[in-house]
Amino acid sequence: MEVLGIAVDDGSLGAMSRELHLRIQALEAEMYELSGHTFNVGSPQQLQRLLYDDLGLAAGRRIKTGRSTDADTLEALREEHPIVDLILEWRQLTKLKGTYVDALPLLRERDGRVHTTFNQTVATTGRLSSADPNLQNVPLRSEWGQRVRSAFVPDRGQVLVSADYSQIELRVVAHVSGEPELIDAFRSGQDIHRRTAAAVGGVAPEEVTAEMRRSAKVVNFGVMYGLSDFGLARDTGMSREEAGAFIAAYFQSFGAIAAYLEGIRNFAREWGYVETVFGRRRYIPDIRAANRQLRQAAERMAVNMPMQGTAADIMKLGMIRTDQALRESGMAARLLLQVHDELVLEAPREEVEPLAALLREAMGGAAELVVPLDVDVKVGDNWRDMTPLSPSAG
Amino acid sequence: MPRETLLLIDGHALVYRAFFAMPALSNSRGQMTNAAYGFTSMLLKVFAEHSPVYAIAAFDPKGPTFRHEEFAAYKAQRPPMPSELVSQLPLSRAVVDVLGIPVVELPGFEADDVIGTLSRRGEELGLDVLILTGDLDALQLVTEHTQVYATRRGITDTIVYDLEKVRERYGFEPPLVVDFKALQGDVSDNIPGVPGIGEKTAKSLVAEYGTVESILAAVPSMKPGRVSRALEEHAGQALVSKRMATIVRDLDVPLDLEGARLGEYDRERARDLFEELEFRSLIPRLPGGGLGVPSGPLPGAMVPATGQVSLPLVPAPSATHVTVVTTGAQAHEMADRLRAAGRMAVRTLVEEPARRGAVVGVALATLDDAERAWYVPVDHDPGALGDAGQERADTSAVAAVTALLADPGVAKTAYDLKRELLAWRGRGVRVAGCDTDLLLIAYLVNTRTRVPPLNILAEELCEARLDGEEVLLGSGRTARRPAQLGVQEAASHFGRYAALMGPLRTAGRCAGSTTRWSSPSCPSSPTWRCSASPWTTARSAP
Repeated sequence: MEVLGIAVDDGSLGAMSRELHLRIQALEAEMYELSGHTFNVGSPQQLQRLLYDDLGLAAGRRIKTGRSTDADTLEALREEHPIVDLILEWRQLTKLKGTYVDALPLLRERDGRVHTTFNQTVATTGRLSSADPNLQNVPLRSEWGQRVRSAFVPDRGQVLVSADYSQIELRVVAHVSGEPELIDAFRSGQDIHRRTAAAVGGVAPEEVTAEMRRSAKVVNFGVMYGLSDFGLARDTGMSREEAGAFIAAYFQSFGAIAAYLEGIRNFAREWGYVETVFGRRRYIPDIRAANRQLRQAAERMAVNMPMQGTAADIMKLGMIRTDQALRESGMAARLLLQVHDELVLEAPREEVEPLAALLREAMGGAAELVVPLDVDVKVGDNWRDMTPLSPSAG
Repeated sequence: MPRETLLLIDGHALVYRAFFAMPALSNSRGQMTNAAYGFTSMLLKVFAEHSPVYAIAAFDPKGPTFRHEEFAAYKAQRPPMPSELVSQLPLSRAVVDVLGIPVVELPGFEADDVIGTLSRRGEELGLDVLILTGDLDALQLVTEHTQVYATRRGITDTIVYDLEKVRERYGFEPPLVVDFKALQGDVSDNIPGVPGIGEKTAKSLVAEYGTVESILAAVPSMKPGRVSRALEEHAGQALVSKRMATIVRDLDVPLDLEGARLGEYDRERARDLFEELEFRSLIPRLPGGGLGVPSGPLPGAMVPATGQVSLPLVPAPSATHVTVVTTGAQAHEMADRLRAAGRMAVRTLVEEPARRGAVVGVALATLDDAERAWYVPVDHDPGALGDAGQERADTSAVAAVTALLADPGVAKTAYDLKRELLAWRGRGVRVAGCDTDLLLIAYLVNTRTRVPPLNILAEELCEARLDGEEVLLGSGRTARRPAQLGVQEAASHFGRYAALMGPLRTAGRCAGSTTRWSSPSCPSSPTWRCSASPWTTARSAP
């Protein structure tokens, strides 16, 4: 994968860069007008003075260099002054421009392709990390993030094929906890978040509102990271009490998950390590640290590692099987990238169908869990505009 | 109904073997422990693999045995045992004691004889017998219900001999192994045999005629020649040799089965002993499924085992002599050495990023001798000379090296195999035989946020000093590119780097984890399967 690299469309990146540049300038102009003077938006020092002194906004956390101007702090101040929104957008765009839009064309090598470096010894969970560029950080949900994605293209005459493990972490949760509700939902192909919301709210799945579903979704994912009522409140706009109640109801309905989490924490405390389903261990000595911060961070890692780690293991096994199968098949398709739960390949158009079948088998068969492993395969002319391929009958 | 297994341990032979097979290891009080460690490790391995119900250990008693009395030359040529080995015998016996295994010793008879007798008794009682030894003399005891678990060259390199295997190896039944030995003789025991009759002849004679007695009786009818003459001349010697080689099986030694039953032993005492001997990585392997199994069912993912433990040090020599290889002749000599060993450590010096950079030089070492290494300068900048006398290796030398790298028959160990693969790809060389990646192992058992570089690992686990690469290359305005390094300095740094991989690999194997890990860029995905013990820094406390 490192040797192959991936092609990027620097024409479109160039156009993006110009567009971003104009937008950033426009933002700056507006900010200068609102504040009455020019300043360096990128300087936290100057921002501090502007926001907290000149404009008299309520100062947030104190940090080493004064008062915090980080994203969370500014988020909270959005209502107070229009300039805050502009600052947030400015930051997002300059980061995107610097890290991706402008950087990618510079990373192209003689073959016109960008060669990212993959490292499997950085992340404690066992996931692959990537650098130059860091593919993990391409913002998935924002419009601009998607535009950056669209700049990743296949070789001439070929298409990009993406295979993604759908909801693998939750499936792992179902497997390790043995939670019957989750297992049943996955086996019958139901919408897991809707089902969760129904169970927690004590209503029928059809009666679940979008809001309930959203909260259920946050908790479903948050469970793996040691989500607290505070965290849930922040991510859903509930009050802390409501969030607390929601979480309590969640664990009431999903007793097996609660038991599992408790069991993991105890195990980690007693033995000093945790394991993925495949037996790969993470030693967590801080679980017995005197310092409360360290200890709590360790507990979160202890809870998280078996699930994330197992997902990472499955991804790697899926990659190995895919590589093996590709060699045996003699197909021209090539594995290019691995990011989050996804594999990206490029292939001639004719190979798409057999490739999709190969990927479903290689990735889907990477592990035997109590729930099926679903693989979503998509095809497209760039990494953003991809259409799902439905699995053929049988 | 399946038969229960009786394990008979040839203590002496095992400790002796372990002493010569294991790398030097001592505890913090300077007591050498390599043999005791190997012995204990072997024992635990057999427990785990065969789950014997009963176990008895036999040691050689002090004083001469009947063989010495009857035949003065028996084992006479053996040099006295090194004191470092002798001092480990009581340690090994302490281990056997603490595990609750009875020891049987009969003055005048060797451990072999005790084992021979007990194995027969065991069979009569309806047991399956497993003999753990380093000594192939025991093969004569193999039957349908007795097998020999023998160590080969290393201490972990083992083979189980059952009836089939013995037949395969010799071409005749186990009891005839004695006769075979009687003819061939045995240099290590100083059993003379029949001069002029070597392995092949001995094998065919026994296969054809059977026992020494039968062979001797058949001499008149043999074709006259060197062999028949030798047999005639040394008939007496052949018979004496047979007596020496035969393991006695009817000693007056009781088989106390109940006393030999493995079961509850004092785990606390065992732990204490292991702690004292600094065999901490062996503690989790104590039979009985670890200490303090957590109560209540655990989810499928969790396998209880003991908690954190630190590693015994695998000390490395304080210096490595690095030979700079520039001629084809030198390269071939090095390559021969490495091919003979079947495995090697490699560290390539390359311009970053490895995927595109030019190979500047490569350091190679065996895994068994950290005092030697080689360095092949491939493409240092001209003028970056040092005292090597020649700034690059000639084409035939480089060709010999690349052939070695591409040879799948030579297993490669490196710190970051992917880097090595990428570095050589640029020169069209596909590195084959990828075996051990120390970076991955360090990652798997590391508890810190970042995996330490090799020189830090070497310091913590092998007490070896080596500067980090950044010291060599410098930083800021005085930073140098790898190609700007002098050949001599590169050789001495990277040669040492490669040489340290051997001890680190040993330390890593003591640690290990029950894991299957993947390396997408590496064609093989080796499986690490061994008892667990985390690789914390040797000094840190949980």
